[in-house]
Amino acid sequence: MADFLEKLMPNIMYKPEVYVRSIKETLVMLGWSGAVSFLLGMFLGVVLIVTQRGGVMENRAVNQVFDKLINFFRSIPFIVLLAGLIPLTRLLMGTAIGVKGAFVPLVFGTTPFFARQVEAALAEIDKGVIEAALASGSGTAGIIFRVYLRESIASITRATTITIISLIGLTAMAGAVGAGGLGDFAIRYGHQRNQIDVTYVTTLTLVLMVSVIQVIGNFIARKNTR
Amino acid sequence: MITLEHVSKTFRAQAGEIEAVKDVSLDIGQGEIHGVIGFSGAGKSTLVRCMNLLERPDSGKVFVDGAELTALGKRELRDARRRMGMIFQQFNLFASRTALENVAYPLRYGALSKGAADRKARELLSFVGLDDKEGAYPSQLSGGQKQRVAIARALANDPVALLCDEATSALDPQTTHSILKLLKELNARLGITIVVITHEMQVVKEICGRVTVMENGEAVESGDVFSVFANPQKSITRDFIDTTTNISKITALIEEGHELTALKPDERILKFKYVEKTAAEALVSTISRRFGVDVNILFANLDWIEGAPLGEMISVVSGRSADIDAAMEFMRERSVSVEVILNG
Repeated sequence: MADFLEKLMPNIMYKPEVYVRSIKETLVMLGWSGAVSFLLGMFLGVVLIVTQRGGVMENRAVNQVFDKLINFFRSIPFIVLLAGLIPLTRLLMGTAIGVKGAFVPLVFGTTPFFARQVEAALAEIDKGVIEAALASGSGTAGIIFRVYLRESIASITRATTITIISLIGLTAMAGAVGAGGLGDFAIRYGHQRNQIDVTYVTTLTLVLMVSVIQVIGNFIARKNTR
Repeated sequence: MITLEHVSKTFRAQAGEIEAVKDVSLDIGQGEIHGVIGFSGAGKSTLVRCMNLLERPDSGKVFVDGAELTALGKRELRDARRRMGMIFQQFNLFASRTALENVAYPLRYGALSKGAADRKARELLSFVGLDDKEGAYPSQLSGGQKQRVAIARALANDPVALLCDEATSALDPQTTHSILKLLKELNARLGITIVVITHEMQVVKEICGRVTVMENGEAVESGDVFSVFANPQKSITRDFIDTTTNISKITALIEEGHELTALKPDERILKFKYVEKTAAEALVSTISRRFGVDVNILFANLDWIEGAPLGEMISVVSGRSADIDAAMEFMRERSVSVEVILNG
């Protein structure tokens, strides 16, 4: 078996610990920046919805500020964001390279994208349902947590799945500028040293990750669709 | 119970301002079933939303059960809203919650534990006749069942009033009837005040004690249902009443020159309206015998509104002119209003 694998992917088998470390790094980047982007994106999406015209906390100024801010960051290509955020990353993380250095740009790249999707998911909730909750005495917090978020579990799950998958893409890109992880592994060995099996195995690993996330996402979404 | 004093509400839209409610004053008594009828756009939905301040009036005061809602702070307003239930045309149930969870929704805020809330929700579901549906999601329920769940949810906090915004407009006639019956039962058993917003006079006739007619944001006519039906003051009110009978079809028949309305010289088409207890008397046979006129009934309608009969009849009366006049006079003496629709 080992012989066979060595034949199939000699460069991976030569340094399996690097491969495993790359996977771990990718997962660490995914976990941290994903979790933070999830919370921030949720927050922003909710803010956009409740402060919009006719929302439960209507506030035109706040709505416009967040709306424009999100548009601003969404229009910057990620590769430019990576470079542009270096000073801020240094300030916040103490370094602009490695897994730690990738965290800030990943969050900035993902949060606005996810916030827009949360906004779209919450916008699907029928105004009448909000009205019914208000009529039964719900306050703003009740409307947000017991109606908006609760009623949109399925669509937020789908949004989360899409976002995590696009985040995997971003971590690989961040790898190109020294963030580590599978992207870095593929570029450094597969591309620069022409170890073609590294590129293939990395690609397969990413395909597997994406598939697992998609399957889990679909499962949760289906469970919560009524 | 619910008092509106000079309530006005204007919406600012791109197309300009829309005065949805104009200076409406209304007094709805404890235990009353009060109908508010109007065509779409008349402002009735806005009016009912002013009663629990889902829409805050631009001017005027709203009192519910002695408290001035328009003067309350956010917290007190939420408490006040819990004392009023509301149901909607589109039911507005939480799709991700079961019937039981929907009913328990308003309860989970208060002092009740989850167990106590579920117990109460179960009682309410059984009260609306859905004991076996507590685990069903709204998508698995029919329209009538959804509205029953919505009613149970609206009753969760033992409200003093129930606001119904076109609650039966999305339902078929049978289901409408059963929901109206349920509302009537609630009113009788719990003494709850009910406000019914509708565009169907049939609904008003079926359950309301009093009615307010709205047109262009104004309350143009208000009174107890029997007298409004018996003696409508405004043409819009007459239009609504006509929708509940086929009496108005005579106009169409005359216009199209139907053979029934081709009168001979000694014939007249008369409209009789019985507004008092006279409906129980055999007046048609009486005039026929006494004045020697023939009465051919084209349309007739007899309603029982709040336990009193209210009848209308369109007939071709034939006979000598003087006899017909005498018969008409006789009817009027019996407080039956007589109107000549067409002379032969």
